[in-house]
Amino acid sequence: MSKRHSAEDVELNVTAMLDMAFQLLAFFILTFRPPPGEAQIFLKLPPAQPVAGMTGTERAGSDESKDPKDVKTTKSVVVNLLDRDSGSVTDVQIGIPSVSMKPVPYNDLEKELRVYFKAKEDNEAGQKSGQGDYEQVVINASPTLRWEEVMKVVDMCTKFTAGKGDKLPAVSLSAAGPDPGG
Amino acid sequence: MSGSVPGGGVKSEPNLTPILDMVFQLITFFMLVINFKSAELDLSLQLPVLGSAKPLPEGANLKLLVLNVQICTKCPHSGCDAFATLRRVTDADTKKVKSYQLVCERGHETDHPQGAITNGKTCLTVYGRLLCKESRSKDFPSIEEYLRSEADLSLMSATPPLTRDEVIKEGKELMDTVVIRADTGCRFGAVNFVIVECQKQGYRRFALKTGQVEIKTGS
Repeated sequence: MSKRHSAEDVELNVTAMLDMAFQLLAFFILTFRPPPGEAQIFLKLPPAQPVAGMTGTERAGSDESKDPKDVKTTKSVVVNLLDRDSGSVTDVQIGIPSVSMKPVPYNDLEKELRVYFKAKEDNEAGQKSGQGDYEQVVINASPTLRWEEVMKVVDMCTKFTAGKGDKLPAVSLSAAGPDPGG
Repeated sequence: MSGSVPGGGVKSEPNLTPILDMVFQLITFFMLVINFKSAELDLSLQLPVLGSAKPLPEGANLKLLVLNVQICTKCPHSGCDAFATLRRVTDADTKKVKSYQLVCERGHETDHPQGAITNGKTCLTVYGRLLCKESRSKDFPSIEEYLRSEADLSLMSATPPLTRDEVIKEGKELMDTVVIRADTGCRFGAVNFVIVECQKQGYRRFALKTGQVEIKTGS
């Protein structure tokens, strides 16, 4: 109160600026939406290499124009997931199509994949499992199967390594027949 | 800021400068965290939840093409010829799904008994637009046309620029990562169709989106 103001002392009226700042603040608060917590599985999905003995399927990007004899085939393990139009997995077969396809219970699929691939946890423990020279898993699923079920099997495959390195087995998806929905 | 008033009383004004400082701080915070990327995510989708999926690494400089894959069907509302997709109605408290609704492009809402559309069409949600296998108008290209235009963009932005022939015939790959956000109830055939269409355009890198594992905090 006793402070003396000089004649030139100019005071800025900040009330208007404060009003505007509150407007801006309200806008940013109202439009704020935190991004959903999401995760992902990164896959390199080249068009599927032809697998000996697989016919009658719509394979992702299979090159049908070439003579089948000229095309290099990859050592692949095929997992067939059938759903009998129920949307959930009812039958599972695993194997090499030209040799044999073996029906297995769904719960034992992970154990069966161990026959062909090295499990990451075994690598860490220094144990040996699997033959290790298969490079690709072809998940050949019914088109009516729900996406969730396919992702569970993809998830299982990411627990293994293929070949001699630590690489993941190449996962390739293919649909057994056309999609009835369109 | 106070001074004497001729009447003898004291006129007091609040000092607004600190509050203005604080408000500017808040504005800066919200401006920095505003995320325009979430506009391309369809938040009505329920993503599958898996243990081994990892969040996007910090600072990863990936070019992403986000595709929201769903099944759509004709809107059951009489006289409406638009397409409708499934939406879950969740309880605000328990976060559990209470019921399902079909919501069409024109906003009609119809109750739907099941958690999936069984005989619908494959569609992509791109910034709120529904793209189907066939083109509907200039603003609604087919899935193939849309992916082709996106692939053309990334061909041009690649260093050195690629041509379509190099990608299709010589097997060169586009560097962009296709993010597949598919609903849990979506048919595999629909997702596979989208993946095959992407592969035809030269995309090889895919990220299959999953929801984050919920951490249970007691009962």
